Amino acid sequence: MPRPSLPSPPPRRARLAPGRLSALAALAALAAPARALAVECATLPNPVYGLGGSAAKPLIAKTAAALAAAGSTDTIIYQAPGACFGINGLISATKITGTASYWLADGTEQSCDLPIAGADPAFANMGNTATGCPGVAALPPDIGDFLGPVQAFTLVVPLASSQQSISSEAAYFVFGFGQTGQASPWTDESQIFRRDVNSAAQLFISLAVGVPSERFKGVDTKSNSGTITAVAGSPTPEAAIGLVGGEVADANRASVRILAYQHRGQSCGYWPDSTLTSFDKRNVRTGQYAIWAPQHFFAKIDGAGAIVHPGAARYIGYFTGATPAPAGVDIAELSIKAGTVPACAMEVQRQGDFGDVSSYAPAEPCGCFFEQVATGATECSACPGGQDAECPASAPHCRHGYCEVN
Amino acid sequence: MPARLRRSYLALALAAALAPAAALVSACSSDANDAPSGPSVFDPPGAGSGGAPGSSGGAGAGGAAGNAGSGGGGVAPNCLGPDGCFAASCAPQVTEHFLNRCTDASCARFDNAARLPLFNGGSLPPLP
Repeated sequence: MPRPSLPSPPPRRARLAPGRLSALAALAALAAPARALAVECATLPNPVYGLGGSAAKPLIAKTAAALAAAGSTDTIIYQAPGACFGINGLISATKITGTASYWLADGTEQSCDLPIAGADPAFANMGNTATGCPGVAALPPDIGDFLGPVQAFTLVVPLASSQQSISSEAAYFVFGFGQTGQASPWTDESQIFRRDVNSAAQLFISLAVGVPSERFKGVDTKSNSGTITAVAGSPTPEAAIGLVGGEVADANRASVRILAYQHRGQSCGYWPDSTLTSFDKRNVRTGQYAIWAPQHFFAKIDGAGAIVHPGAARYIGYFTGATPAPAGVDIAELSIKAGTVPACAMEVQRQGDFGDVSSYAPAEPCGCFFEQVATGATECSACPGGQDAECPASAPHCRHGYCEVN
Repeated sequence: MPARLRRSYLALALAAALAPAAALVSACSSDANDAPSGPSVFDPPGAGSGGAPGSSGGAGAGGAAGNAGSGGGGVAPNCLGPDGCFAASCAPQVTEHFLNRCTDASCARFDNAARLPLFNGGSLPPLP
């Protein structure tokens, strides 16, 4: 079914006198051009409202745009005030107001105005479990937790910084002590960029380095993109440091550099990828990079565990496999391109937020496909016909177009 | 421009920009464990600790340690790589084994003892 065309900006205040209209138009052009062009979210086809962290925005953007391009009848609309605002909003049934983002088929991000009376979030997304958030003692039984792809959390510095790595202990002094921590060169608290207790990125850095999230020193940047802007634009780049989700860090490698992270018990720091400049996420996939977690989608569920909101059920189902994605939409490929790792490409898993790591053998592994998409090359044999018969005995299973051992 | 091509250009630009620092980064074939001893802490926010992180357990050769809730564990001699890393021939059992697997991935060492005046030989002071 063809997707209905997105509506043009509504002709507001059509009965204003011409003079007042032109004056208002001039003011609007000066004040907020983007806002003046925003459409009403509710007028978009089948709006599916999401709420949560900004770390996942690259993934939401890529999948929402691909669904639009494929003619999906749903419009994914996302507001990113912070990870824990998502689950708390869902639990308290708080309507979201203001503006939110949606994406055109070509990937362009657009802003739309939420209803004055607010809109009910159909799903929440964040990098941590619900109980990692302030005020959530337990996940209510009418809300389901559905795992998405794995993302890293990273510490970043400006490109002009000479720093390459940071240890857990150093980050303890940087974020726990600030200027008195003597962890040179990160001792200027105006250049230490943090988030708040509602941020998944801050939660995971907190768990990794041992500084309670509410005690972080530095300047609150409010969002992942705010951190990128602050770090990249620092007037004293050697002193600047911030924390962001790996997706956002990857999307901004032209502006910031990811630090290798040396966890306690490691004698060398590792990047999420096998090198500073690669995108292979090898150290996330194998557990050598310490700070990673699966994304969590949350949505209201019925007594049988099924997601109540039809649009949210479809969207989350594309990630979990419960719902086949529309033709032309490969969620695994989009996840990889967004800088995350689908579970089928992981070799490790962990329990809870920053819990113990153990080996993981996906039922239908996609490591070869991951390598091909993430890096543009793989040593695995291809099986373009999708048949096991195309594969050698050493890797007899054709999965995602490549021959896997299992 | 295709994403793959764009990433290649980006990688080239980054590599050029970072060339002076490349000498500081090495391909790590091993992890000689230098973890300090200390209390096991990775308390979640709000758990009331606020205390210093430390290592927990030990991985045998030098004591790789220190992840959430992990008790570490000994490493059989046949599972130790040439520099004390966890050999690929053995199946990792605990978090520390995964963190310290022998690898040809690049790494960049952060020298805690040389760069952290308050590190004090391995124990971390409580938060102010």
